[in-house]
Amino acid sequence: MTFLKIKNLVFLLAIPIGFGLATWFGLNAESYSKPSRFVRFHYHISPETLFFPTFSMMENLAISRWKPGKTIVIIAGNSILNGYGQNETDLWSLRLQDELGERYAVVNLSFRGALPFEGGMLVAESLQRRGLPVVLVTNTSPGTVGRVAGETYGYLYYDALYKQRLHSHPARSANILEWEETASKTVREQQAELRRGSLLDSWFHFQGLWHHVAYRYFFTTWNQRTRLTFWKSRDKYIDDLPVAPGYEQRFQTDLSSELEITRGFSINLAEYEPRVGWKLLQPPMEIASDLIEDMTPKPIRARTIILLSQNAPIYRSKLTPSEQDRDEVVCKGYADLWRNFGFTCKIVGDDFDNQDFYDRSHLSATGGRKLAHLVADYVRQLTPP
Amino acid sequence: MNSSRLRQSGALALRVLLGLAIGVFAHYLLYRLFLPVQPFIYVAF
Repeated sequence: MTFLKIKNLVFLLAIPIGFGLATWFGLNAESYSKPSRFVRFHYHISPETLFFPTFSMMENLAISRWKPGKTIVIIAGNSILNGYGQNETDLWSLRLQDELGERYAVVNLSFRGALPFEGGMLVAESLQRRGLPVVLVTNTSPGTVGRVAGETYGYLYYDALYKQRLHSHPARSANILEWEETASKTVREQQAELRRGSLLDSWFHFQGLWHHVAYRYFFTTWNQRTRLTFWKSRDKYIDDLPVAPGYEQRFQTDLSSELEITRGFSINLAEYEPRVGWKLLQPPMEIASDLIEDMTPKPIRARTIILLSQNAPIYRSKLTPSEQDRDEVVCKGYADLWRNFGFTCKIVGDDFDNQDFYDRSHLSATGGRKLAHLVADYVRQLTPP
Repeated sequence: MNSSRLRQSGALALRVLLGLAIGVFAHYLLYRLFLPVQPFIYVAF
């Protein structure tokens, strides 16, 4: 064999070896990689800046806080539980940890704009499958259930699914496939690409490696929010989510549009019948029931606290008495629906003051403390010593 | 004789490094390929 042939052979052999080494590093990274000093997913470690925390990263965050004898409290849900409006040190989930004490490990895995079962629930499910004691706390508004896939954080479902971290729950995948069949061509293509990506990732672990590199060493993709410093590793960024200003500067947004959203919480979920009063509409109840049944495996239900988050009183008090009655009927009706499926469900914010809110839905530091106090009670009730 | 061997070893090492780099880059390309073009835009409401 000539030297030229040997050189070319060595070169060709080195390519798959390089790829294999990267895959091996990726597989390793999946077992330990996680944001350090983690409190919550802020802008720079979330999809708002093209950083898509992997399922294993979220799982590592939870497992790293667990010790035998402790119960892991996973917080999922949306921006309200993400503490949008509270600074990092005042975050409600830190107060929850203070209230619960050593016996519990609280991990806030909520994301802004997430549906109740996106992301965090899947981590809770995976931990439960491993036999770890876990409680899931998540939130939504009455009538909103949503799927685990199909929205911004749906990639976590496929990530967990292809890495075989979830309970077997055929109704869930059947529901998602059925929904996809009725979705637009663009949505179907997006979902197919997500699945392809997650399948390949389960073989080659590229998300694990390159997200670890992005967090620890350097980021490679420009985006609007990080702009000229886009290359900086994500561990260099601080949590700069908005914090509630002084009370007199809050609630400045357009009143009519806020009222519209407040009414929207229940307007399509109940109808008025003379002499009977407000009555829940059946079609939305049935849709919610089907989604709850299909999206949540039975074992996780008994360990889940669903919080139905109320709007700030400044807006609720401006609804007509009839609209307020409708709100109450809808909240109670949907809380009962969740309970019928075996969940613990509580309505929160009903008795909070305006001071406790940053805006119509998000909580200030004082609201966060009240929420932590309530949730600590619910968690203790679910996990008697 | 020695310098020719040294050159050959250097050339081989270069090929190995180049091959490894291409392999790692292909792995990185997979990550980039499945990264959405637009970041998620959250609007608080």
